[in-house]
Amino acid sequence: VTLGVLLLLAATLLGVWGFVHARDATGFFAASRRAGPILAGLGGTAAGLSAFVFIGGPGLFGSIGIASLWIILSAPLTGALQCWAVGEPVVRLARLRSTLTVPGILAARYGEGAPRGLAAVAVIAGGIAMLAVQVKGVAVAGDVLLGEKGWLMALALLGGTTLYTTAGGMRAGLLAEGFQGLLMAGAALILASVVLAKAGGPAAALNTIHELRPALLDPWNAVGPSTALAWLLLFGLGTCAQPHYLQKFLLVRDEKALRWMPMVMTGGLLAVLTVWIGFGLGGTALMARGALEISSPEQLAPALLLGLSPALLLLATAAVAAAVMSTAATLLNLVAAAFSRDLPLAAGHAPGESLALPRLATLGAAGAAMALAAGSGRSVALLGILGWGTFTAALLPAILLGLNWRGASRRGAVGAMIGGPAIQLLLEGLHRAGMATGLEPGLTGAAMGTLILVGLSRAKTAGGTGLGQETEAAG
Amino acid sequence: MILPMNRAPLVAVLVAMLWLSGTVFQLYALTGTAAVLGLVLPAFWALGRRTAATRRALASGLAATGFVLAAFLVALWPGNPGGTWVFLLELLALSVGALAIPLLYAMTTGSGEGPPR
Repeated sequence: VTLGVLLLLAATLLGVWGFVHARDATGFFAASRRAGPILAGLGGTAAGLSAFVFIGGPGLFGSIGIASLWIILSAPLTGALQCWAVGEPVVRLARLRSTLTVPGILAARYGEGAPRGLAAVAVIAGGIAMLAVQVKGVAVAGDVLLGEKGWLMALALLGGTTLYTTAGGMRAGLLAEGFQGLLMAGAALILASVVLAKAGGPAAALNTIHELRPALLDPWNAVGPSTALAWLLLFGLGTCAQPHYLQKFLLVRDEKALRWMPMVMTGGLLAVLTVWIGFGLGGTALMARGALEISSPEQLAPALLLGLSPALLLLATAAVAAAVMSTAATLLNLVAAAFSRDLPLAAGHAPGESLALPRLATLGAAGAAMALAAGSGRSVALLGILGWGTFTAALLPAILLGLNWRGASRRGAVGAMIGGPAIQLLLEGLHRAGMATGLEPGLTGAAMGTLILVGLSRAKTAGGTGLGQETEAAG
Repeated sequence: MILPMNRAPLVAVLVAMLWLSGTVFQLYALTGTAAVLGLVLPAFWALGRRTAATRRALASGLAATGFVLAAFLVALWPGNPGGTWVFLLELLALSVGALAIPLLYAMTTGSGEGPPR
């Protein structure tokens, strides 16, 4: 109850502050473009990491051991890779064309109409699905942390986030994300150290696993090379196509802010990921020794959390809440922007100056996500495929190639944005039927989208605004 | 120019074809190569936007990163060795990479020459 009241109070204060300061679309969608490297970097890390890192990651370690690290092995590269490959061109485009949204980047590059519209549809579908998965995830974690009150926790967190995001957009959202990123990093370091200490230290934990569960130290384990390498590429290259990462480049004050952004992003990311390794290693060792009794590896993190002191449990709850709220705030704003700004622009209508529609769209996105999450777990799981994989399949070729190759054409980009997700959804359907299980749907969709984009662009089409030409014109 | 941006489609198609062939025919060497190229080469595209000296510095760092990643994958190959050393190697790669790669980026960006006009 105390946490809930504090949360409501903080959300209200932040909402009021954001309402006063976010007076126009630039303030609401792009935090008035005032972010420096620390705020944008911490915000990017916080928005990109969900509660899965605290709950699901350690469970995966307990289940498949170090093979789970293929998901996070690309972490040192992703911050710099994003800045090199997409951050620098996006910051330049944002200045040249006053771009405020992720679909707007595609419109600035390929022209108005279909590119912006298709990207907006992908952001709305994928964003609401990812929001629903966050809500569902926190409901499950809340049952463990608060004892059968998971949905109450989910409602409180989404409600609080919706409050300040509706009132202040990303002006309020980015400030909260900066704080949440720091909280997550600090909490992860403390919690990981405590659990490793409980297991007798890293060396003792490693020795225990080596002696009692050596299969967990197999780098491929039951996952196999195909899936493991797919994880490496999907979570490495895929970061260049995630709207909640790309959005942060629209918020930075200038190109110089990019210089230290990878350092902040990577530092924050690695700090938070210590909980994956610390909980995984320590918890698995305790499990192997029989000191921790759980019925399945998925219960590893919850069981470890319940064994903590009340103060540490509170810290863990706050960290999980921060992870969920930061991701939700960005997704709510992205969906609201796509609905209230990008869809009208794609249809040829200029959006008005009023922030009433974006605020209503934020509320609508939260309602849709809550309704979807409250439905059956199956429907959430089905729509969850419209998350990371769909963003990768739909946006990676058009964004990554389009921003680095002036020959990429409008027709090629539109073809890739239709063909990529179509192939991904087809493969997801086949997976559910037990077929084509060796093909990772998101990556295969992106690979096919790349071939479509290059093929159609090479077929001598007109259209597409050359990035180089734009830059020269501005210079 | 080490890898100019007009080579971007060639690289992208190469990575896509390697990835698709590797996964369809279960040829893990191809999949692994696609993973390394796919992760490292987009950063090389960015070299086309910088001056010669910066490109050399960045290329050296990225080549080293790619080499370590490739060597890591090759070392894992036959017989799935397993064991403590693999885990420690992964932790080492995470730690060193997390420090070195962002520093590599900061070395040039914002120093007056990059991102270029």
